[in-house]
Amino acid sequence: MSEGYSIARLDELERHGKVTPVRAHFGIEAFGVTAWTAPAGENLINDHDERSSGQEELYVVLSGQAIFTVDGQEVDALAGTLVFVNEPETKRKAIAGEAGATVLALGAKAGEAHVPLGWEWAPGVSRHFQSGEPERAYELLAAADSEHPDAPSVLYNLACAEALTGRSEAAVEHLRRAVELYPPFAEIARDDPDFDSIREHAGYAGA
Amino acid sequence: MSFRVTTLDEAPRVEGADGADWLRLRKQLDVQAFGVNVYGADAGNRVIEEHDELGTAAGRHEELYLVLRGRARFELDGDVHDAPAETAVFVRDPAVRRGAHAEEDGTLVLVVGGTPGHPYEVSVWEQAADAYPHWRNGDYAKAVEILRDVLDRHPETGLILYNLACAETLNGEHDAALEHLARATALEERWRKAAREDPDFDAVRDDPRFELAVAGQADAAG
Repeated sequence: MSEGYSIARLDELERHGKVTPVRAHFGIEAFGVTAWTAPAGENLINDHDERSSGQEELYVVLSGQAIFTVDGQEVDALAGTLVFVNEPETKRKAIAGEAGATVLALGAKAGEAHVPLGWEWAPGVSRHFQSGEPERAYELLAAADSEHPDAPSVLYNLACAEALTGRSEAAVEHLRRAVELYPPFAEIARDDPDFDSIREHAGYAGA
Repeated sequence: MSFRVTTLDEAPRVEGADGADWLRLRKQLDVQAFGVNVYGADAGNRVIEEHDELGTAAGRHEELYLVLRGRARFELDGDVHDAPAETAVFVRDPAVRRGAHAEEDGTLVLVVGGTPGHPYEVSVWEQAADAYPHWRNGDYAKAVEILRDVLDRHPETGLILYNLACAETLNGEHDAALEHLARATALEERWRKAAREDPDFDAVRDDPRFELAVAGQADAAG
C-alpha cells in the first residue's frame, strides 16, 4: 500500500470508551473527524457548544438512532440523517436511541486553517489511567498541554494525572483553570475519585 | 438558522461525474469549513470519478472517503481495495489517482476534503458545477455565463477554460471558444487529447484555428 493513502474499517480502529479518534488514526490535518458510539439511552454527544473552537460541526448518523437536542429542539435522527450546526454558540447534544448509535462528527472553523483540538489528546491516555500508569498519562497530558494550552479536557485530565501522582499543587491549579474554562467540570470533578487526594486542599475547585 | 437537518434519502440528487448520483451536501447545508459531498451508484457503475487533487481546478485536498451504504471497489494508484460499508479510505497525497465503482445497488460514499494548513475554500470545480444543469438542458448561454463568472475569479484554471470553450462552441461563440481552448491546453496538456475526442468541438473541428488551439497557441482565435 502506498504511503499516500490508508484504509480501515471504522470498527477496526482503536476505540476509547465512546470515542473512535478517526482524525488521529489517519493523521488527518485539514478537518476534525471523530466517531461516537453509545448503547441505548446513554449520552452519545455531550451537551456542549463550540464557542471555544469556533467550529462548524456536521454529524452523520452511521448506524442506529440518535436523539439530538439542538438549540432546544429535538431531532430524532435515524441512520442516514445529517445534522449540521453552523453556529458555534448553539448548544447541542445527543443520546443513543433504542438500538444504540454511532455518529460521525466532522468539524472545522470556517475561514481558518484547521488545528486539531486539544480534547482529542484525552481519549488516547485513558488506557494509562485504566492500567494504573498515571505517570505515563501525566507525561502525555503534560505534552498535550504544552501543545494545546487552555484546552479544558486536557487540563482536566492533566489535573487527574497530577492528583494521582502526588503533584497536588499543579493538580489544583489545572483543575481550577479547567473549571474556569468549562464550568461543568466542577460537578464532574465532585464525583471523580481521581481527586480524592486533593479534595481537602485549600485551592480545590471541584467543590 | 443555527442548524440544518437532512437525510441521505431526502437530499436532492443531481447527476455528477461519470453519471453517479451527487448529493451536494456542502452546498445544501452551506458548510463553509470543509468540503463534504455524497456520491451514489448502483452495482457496476462508477461512484467516485477517477481523479487526483493536482489539477488547476483541484484544491490539493486531503480526502476522506467513507462508504455509508452498500459496497465499493476503490482503485488507488492502480491497486484495488474492497470497501464494504463503514470502510474509511483516507488519501493524504494529492497525487494519488483515486476512484471507485459500486459493487452493490444503492452504494453511497461520503467524501470530506480540505487542504492542510489552509482555510477551506469552495473548490473551483464545485463552483463550475452550477453550470452543468443548464448545459444538460441545452441552455448553453446560461452555462457560458456561469463559467465566465467562475473564470473571472479563477482565470488560470484549465478545467474551467476547457468547459467554457465547450459551452461557447455549443453556443455558437467560436472565436471565444478557440481562445479559451488554447489557454486550457497551454495550462494543462491533458486537455489536448480530450479536445480531439470531444464531440462538443465538432462545430469548430474543421476550423484551421482548432489545431492551433489544441496545441496551446495563443493566436488560435486569429
